[in-house]
Amino acid sequence: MRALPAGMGTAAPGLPNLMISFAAAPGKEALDRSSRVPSHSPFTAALLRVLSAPRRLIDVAPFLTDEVVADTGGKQQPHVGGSYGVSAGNLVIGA
Amino acid sequence: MEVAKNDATRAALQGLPAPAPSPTPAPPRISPKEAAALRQQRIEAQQRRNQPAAVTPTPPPVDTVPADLAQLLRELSLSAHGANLVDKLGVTSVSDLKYITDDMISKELPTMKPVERAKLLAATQTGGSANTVVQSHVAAPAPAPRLRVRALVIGIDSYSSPVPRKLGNAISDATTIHEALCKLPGAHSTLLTDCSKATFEAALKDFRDGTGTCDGRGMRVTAAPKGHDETTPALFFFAGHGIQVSGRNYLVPADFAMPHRSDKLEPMLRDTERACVSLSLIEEYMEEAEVTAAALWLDCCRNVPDFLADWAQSAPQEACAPCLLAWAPPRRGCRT
Repeated sequence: MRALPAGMGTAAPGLPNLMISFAAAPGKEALDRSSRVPSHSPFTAALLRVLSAPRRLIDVAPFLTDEVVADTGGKQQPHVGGSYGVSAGNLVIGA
Repeated sequence: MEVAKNDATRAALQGLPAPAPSPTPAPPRISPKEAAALRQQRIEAQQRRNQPAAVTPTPPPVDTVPADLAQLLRELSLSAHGANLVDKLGVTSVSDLKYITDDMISKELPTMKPVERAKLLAATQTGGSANTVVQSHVAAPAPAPRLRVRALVIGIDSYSSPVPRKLGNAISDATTIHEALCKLPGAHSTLLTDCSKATFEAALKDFRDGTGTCDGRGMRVTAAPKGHDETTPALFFFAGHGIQVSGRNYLVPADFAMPHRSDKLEPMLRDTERACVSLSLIEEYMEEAEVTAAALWLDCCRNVPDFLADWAQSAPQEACAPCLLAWAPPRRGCRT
């Protein structure tokens, strides 16, 4: 059952290609104030950095995790749910 | 919208006349709704022929399409390749014509049957030079896909009485994210602040349908249009209170009403759903927005907040298991 699905590399029909980045782990809280940028939360401060440069959609979440963990000293750890196909994950966002 | 880039294509598809004045009368231009009635079409053509030749033809507005192109689109949508084209180009309605880009056409033309290709070229050459324009796109290498972003951004600082603590940064976060998204090429972002559950859900519906939406003060604002292509991601950002009950996540609107206490899980969930916007609803709408990919960024807590502590304590024993009713001790400055 581990064979590659047909249509791999294109948007598979029926695959929502949706990914949720939670600011915090399940059952945990998200901080309102970043230690680096007091006018933003740690998660938003990280997201603003993500959007400041071109980045593939699939690369956004790991970047957010690194930034938020560094910002909060590990107190807050972003989590991800959902899935992208290759073509969706390769979409580039950011200025 | 990169207007300059698409002018040639749009002119081609709409049958704009060549710059040089033509001795023959301009072809009749009829909106697709009118084009559906062939008799009406004949009447208008007759009226145009009766007009004095001195009248200079004015360029058609953006929402008109030549009758033969409308007919062609209908025919194409009946064949497999045509349906694919119509679907990908999103030209089933006239207002979508403006989202057709040069590279979309050049990408699709080779996949069409020769007869369909000939028909499309024939339909687009009413302006004289249109044929050469389209053909040159087939020969030229397709440029990188143009990026368009559809985004909905929501930030809530001020809550109704059941939520005792006002957040300080949520609106600032949402506004800054909105501004950053607006700077992306081809992006359309909608910002809502301190919105009620009704406004929140209406905005989601509007985002899905690409129609107008309301801002936090009930004013009509324009939502991102639905003219997507295969590279358009949908982005959703929320900053505010969030709660997680029984493994399900909910975003708290500004007009949050305290759910009733219950010793059973089912009524608890039902009440939470009534007071909040459920994440599964948002997922559903984003999927239905017909984009290639959706990214949801939720800057909120995922526990039972302190203002719901009493409510949570009445919950059934099984709901209090960590995986069902997530509980974290309240801390200052968090988004619960």
